Amino acid sequence: MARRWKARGAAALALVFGGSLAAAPSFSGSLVSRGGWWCGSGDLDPRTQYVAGKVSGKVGDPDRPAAQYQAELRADYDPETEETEVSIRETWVKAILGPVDLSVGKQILSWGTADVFTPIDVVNPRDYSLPPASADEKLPLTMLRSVINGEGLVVDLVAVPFFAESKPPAGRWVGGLGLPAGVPTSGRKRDPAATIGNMEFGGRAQRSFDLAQGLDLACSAFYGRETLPTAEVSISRDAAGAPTAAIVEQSYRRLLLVGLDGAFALGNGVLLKAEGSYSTFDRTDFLAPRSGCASTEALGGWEYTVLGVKTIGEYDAQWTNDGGSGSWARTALIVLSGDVGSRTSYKLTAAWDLDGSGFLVPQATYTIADGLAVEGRAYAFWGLASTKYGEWKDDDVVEATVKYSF
Amino acid sequence: MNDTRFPLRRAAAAVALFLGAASLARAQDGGEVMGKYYRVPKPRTESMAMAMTISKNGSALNRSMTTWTAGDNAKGEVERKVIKFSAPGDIAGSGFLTAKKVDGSTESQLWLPALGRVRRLSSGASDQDSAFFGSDFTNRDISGFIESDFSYSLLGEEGGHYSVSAVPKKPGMGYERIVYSIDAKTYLADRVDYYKAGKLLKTQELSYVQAGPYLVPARNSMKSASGSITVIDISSQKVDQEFGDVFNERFLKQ
Repeated sequence: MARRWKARGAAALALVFGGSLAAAPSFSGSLVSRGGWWCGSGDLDPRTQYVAGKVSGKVGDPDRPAAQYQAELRADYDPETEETEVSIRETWVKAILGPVDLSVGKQILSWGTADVFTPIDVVNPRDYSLPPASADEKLPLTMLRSVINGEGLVVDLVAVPFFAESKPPAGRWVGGLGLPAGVPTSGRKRDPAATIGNMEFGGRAQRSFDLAQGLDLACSAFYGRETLPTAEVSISRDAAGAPTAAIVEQSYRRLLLVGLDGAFALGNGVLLKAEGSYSTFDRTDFLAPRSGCASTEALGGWEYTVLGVKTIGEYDAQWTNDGGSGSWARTALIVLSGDVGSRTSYKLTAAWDLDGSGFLVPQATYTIADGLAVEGRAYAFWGLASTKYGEWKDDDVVEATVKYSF
Repeated sequence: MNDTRFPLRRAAAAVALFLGAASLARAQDGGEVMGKYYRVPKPRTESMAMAMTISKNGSALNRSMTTWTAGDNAKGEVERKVIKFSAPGDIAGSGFLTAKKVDGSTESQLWLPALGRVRRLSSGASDQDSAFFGSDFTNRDISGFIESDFSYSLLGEEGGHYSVSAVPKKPGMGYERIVYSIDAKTYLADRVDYYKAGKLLKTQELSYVQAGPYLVPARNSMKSASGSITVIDISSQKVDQEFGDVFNERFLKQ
């Protein structure tokens, strides 16, 4: 732990001070304290507290820089384990070469147009500690990125040399593997080695059209890996067929994804969005995949503001081939948000799955002073225990966050 | 002889001047005044630093930003604007890109660093009437109006200022009536009253400073009837400079 801290700290400091020497840097950061309360058990939910510092800057004319850099360091303190983990967050250098932005380092990229369900946005791993909030919690990934800027056309190419996994959900959010009780269980995880063959790469091209209030169309492709492991369970049995041992083997499946997305701002304040992807896994045949090795996800959505309340609607359908006609998951979601005066904002997210389960997330933020805000948020789930969100129905939680940004 | 003719001449000249002035005043109906207001020469390009303070009940929130603008709807051009926030920390780095076309429709894009991508925004009447980053200005107030969307009537002229009432020709323009106080020399507005539901909703006051051959805003304040006030102090104005193509996603993200 200590050695990892030192190595990461030294690397970040080198970047920070190296970057500082290049050109007028700016320093910023944030201090976040948060905690929760499990409604079902009445227990407190101590969350990690963190402090983050960032130095960033430009080289050359600030309006037409020749290069940019950023180094971000974050220290997370877990009050449950009393451990502190220091990590390098978004830390990169970017050279601006004519129409090309070439960057290297730990970066976060966002592909697609949708806000909550993100079928195409699969490059970065995520923090699934609190699964319903995972859409906002991407983890930076070391990559070489090239963005080519044309007239109304942006082409984004990435190469990821080292695999990084997502942070898995905390135990209470994960269903069991159905292992037989009392049977010795061992586990093994196969992390992809850092080899040329295990590199991930992909690209996205977006074309914008001057139609109504703007139309964006994009296509994407990514050859990488799933960032959460798939578990395979092998059970040894005795002559009578009784289980004697179980081995859980976790691996990260190869992923080949192609996707399309678009956003169209109509002239009457309506924004339409669509996003879809087709993925195959484990190097199966792309057009004739093995059972369980392909999935399709598509969503349609809109955005419209009425009486000062912004409404975002999304309908997401996901299909996975299972050898038969496939299995479906369909979810409808609505987000209402707005401001009350200059200091208070609110957001209400509600989702319904067609299996009868759903969740509700009310949220309010109050700005106390410049850069200082408090936020209250709650997660409530419903549905039968066997349904998508119903399995979390005992995990209703209320949380409060204080954040200071400078 | 000369003694009598001179006063007559002077009287005739005075009458001619009076008649001329009277005929000019008649010609200056509200539409003409506002036509001149919309056609006040503007810089081809302009960049400036802004410090925005939103105050209510004795406490204040501050925002710092830089804007770049180009184009003029009055010349049939698309008006483009980029706004980049530099403070406070929770919104620093955010940016806003708009392109207002001659027909009044506006393309808007928003860059939030935490989101990691540029979001295209819808821009309907309700979006335009939403507060501009929590201030007393709406997005519509910031992006400006289209001359042809209003009917104008001259309410009077006093103290070197025209008072012009502007009434929207169609619903969904944010206000029921806008009353401009236009400087008769410069044809710039130094006070604008916004009415809704028969009541004064808010009052805008502007002061100007010379930047090259132009008068450009130095202070722009908006006071709401609710008691809050937003003051934008403008500095570092640069006009008619070549700043390249900054009206794109790439610049927004830099």
